[in-house]
Amino acid sequence: MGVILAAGMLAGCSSGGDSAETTAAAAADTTAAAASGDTEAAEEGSGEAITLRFVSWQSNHAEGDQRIVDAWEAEHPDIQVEIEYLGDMNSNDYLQKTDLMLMGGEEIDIMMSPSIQSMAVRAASGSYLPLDEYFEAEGVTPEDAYDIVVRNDEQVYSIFSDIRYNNVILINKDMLEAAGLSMPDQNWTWDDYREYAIAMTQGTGANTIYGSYIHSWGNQNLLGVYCAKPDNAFFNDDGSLTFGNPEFRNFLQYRYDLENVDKASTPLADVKALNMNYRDQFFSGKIAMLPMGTNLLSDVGNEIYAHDFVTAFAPCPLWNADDTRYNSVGGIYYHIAKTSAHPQEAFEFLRFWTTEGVPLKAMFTSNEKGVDKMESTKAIVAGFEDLVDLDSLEALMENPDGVETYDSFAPEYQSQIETVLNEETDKFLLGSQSLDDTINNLLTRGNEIIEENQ
Amino acid sequence: MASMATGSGKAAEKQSMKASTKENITGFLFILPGFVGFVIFILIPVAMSLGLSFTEWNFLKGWGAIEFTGLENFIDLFSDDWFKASMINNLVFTAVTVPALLVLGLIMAEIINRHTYGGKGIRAMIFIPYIASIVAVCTVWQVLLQPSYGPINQFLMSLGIENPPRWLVDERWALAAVMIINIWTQVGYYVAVYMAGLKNVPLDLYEAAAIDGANARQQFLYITVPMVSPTTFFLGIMGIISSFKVFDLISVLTQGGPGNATSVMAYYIYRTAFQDFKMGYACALAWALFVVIFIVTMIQWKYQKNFTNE
Repeated sequence: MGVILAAGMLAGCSSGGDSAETTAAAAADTTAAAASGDTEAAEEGSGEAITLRFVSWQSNHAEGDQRIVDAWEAEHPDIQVEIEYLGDMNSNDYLQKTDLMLMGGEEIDIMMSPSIQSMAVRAASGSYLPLDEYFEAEGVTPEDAYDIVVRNDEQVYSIFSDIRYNNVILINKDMLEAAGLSMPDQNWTWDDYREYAIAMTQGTGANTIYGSYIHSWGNQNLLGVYCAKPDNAFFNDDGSLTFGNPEFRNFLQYRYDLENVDKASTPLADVKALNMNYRDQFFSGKIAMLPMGTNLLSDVGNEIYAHDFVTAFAPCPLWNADDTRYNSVGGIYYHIAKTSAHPQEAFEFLRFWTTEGVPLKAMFTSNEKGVDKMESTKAIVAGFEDLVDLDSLEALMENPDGVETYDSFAPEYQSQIETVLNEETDKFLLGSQSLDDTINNLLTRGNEIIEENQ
Repeated sequence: MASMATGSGKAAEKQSMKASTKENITGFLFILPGFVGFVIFILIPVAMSLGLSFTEWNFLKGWGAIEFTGLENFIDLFSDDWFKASMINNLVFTAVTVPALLVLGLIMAEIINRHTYGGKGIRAMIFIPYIASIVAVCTVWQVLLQPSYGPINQFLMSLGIENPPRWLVDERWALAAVMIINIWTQVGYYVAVYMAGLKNVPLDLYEAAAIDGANARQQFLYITVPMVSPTTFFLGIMGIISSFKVFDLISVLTQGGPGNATSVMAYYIYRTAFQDFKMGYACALAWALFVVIFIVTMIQWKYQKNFTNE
């Protein structure tokens, strides 16, 4: 009885729902046709209008994103764009959610990835559409359209945009002046960095202001490698891991000493124990120097991090003053998902997003060919120029000796190696494993992963 | 006569069979909604995970990428350091937290029940950590356990301990810290259940024991403990199962680190499946965990009678 009743109710519900929907749709059709009077216009308005689904994690950019979408929709009224923010600003959560959505066949048009390794594994497993044919159809080669083009297996799976300079040193200029220091030279070294860090450290206990802060990400331990070689800092040219390089070893020891002997850098134990947020630490004046990317420029003007000191920029220190200077460039990779229903329109929108859209959003530097990087960067700080030492930024970006470099490849398994890097370096920096054991374990475990994937 | 009797008997049987079939069908229809749900949401996924545990599958590549690899995943388990570490951590976690919770829970329930005024208020206070958001609880504990100037280590240092443990970031102490936090959050639940159990112990037993000259300790050991043993059994089984599945604390506090010092099975399974994309191996891990929980539970059921006096 109960079942029959329930079934009846269900049937009732569903049929009711259906008919209601049909009537609504029919009504909409009639009104659309009636309103326009012109059948052709009606067709264009209701029949062809499509909506692109753009999924992002950067909910803090919602306002800037909407400016691009508004400008686009003004030009293309038949192609609407809806941006959805997933993962609450955490790109790892975002990737996990979108992975599952793609597996379930959910329709997504445009997606993003934050790093070469997270993108490589997904490009290799077919989450993204190759973009070559769309570039061809448009009649441009990717290299003519953008300064940096990343290819995986000869194919373009992404448009690289919203670029930043990685591993620059953000300096709290007030603290620099209070310590009686001058702005560092363009070819300053890690030894200089240590002196600066010691000079700017003050206070004790919970009130210590540290001269330096190195974040808890495993790849921060590659800082000494980033500054010494171009391209992907995990691998040497012959494909071997950089964990055996002297720069890697020296930097680990250097970082350990800076944190535990000189006590001039926030100890990793504190960073991890409290899940510290590096933006909070820097903008609230608890640290004087922070190796991070120029993507923090837009945060200088963010009222969440309101502060009144000037932020200056120095390049990543070198091991020796006459070494080649590599400026590593990072950014966001934009993709068209394999489940996209409108890949052509999505591609057109992405081209707009990564060219005309960049100055509209004004939060990152443009990767478009022919656009002045410095001008594009200056647009970011419009409105709070007095909080940024633009001269120091210009000196860094336009340094004639600087060699611009970026990650041009990443094997599928790089994120697994990064996990190993995290674990083993933590053990060393937290004092439970010797440096020799750490390097040995890193090489053994890293090479095991490489072999497994051959 | 005889034939008539058999004839009518057959007819009756036929009719009753019909009735019983009808009854069966009605019965099946009644359980159908629940049964369909069970099949779709539990039985099929469980069977699929068993099937997947014999394969290698990166789920990003879609259904076509499933490759049958036989017993390889299960053989790999034995040479996997993370699996071993996670299993050992799990066993230590269970062996420490469950008995500690049972003992603390019963003693606190007894004290609140018989020896204090305002027991309800105290019970509510002890219960708060259990219902509070685990993320909020973890954040508070992270601050308390901060290694260089957190209140707990400041206190230890003022007692003259020069190098207090660095708790959550110390390879030797991280698991202990997680266990302490787990006990603190869970004990309220144990107290609440024990207090309900204690209400069922007849007061005249205590009176009789007091007349015979038993002191409070003896009353507790020889009356309270045996009388609440069914409750203890229930809490013990549930505690063991849930401690094998502990995930949220680890995920928020340490992410299995430092190194693999606090990795537990549930966290390792999650990591393997959703960060390394090895769905087949993750399923094999999940089945290994299932086997362990299954064995432990079977042992408990076998000795249930000895535990509960029933």
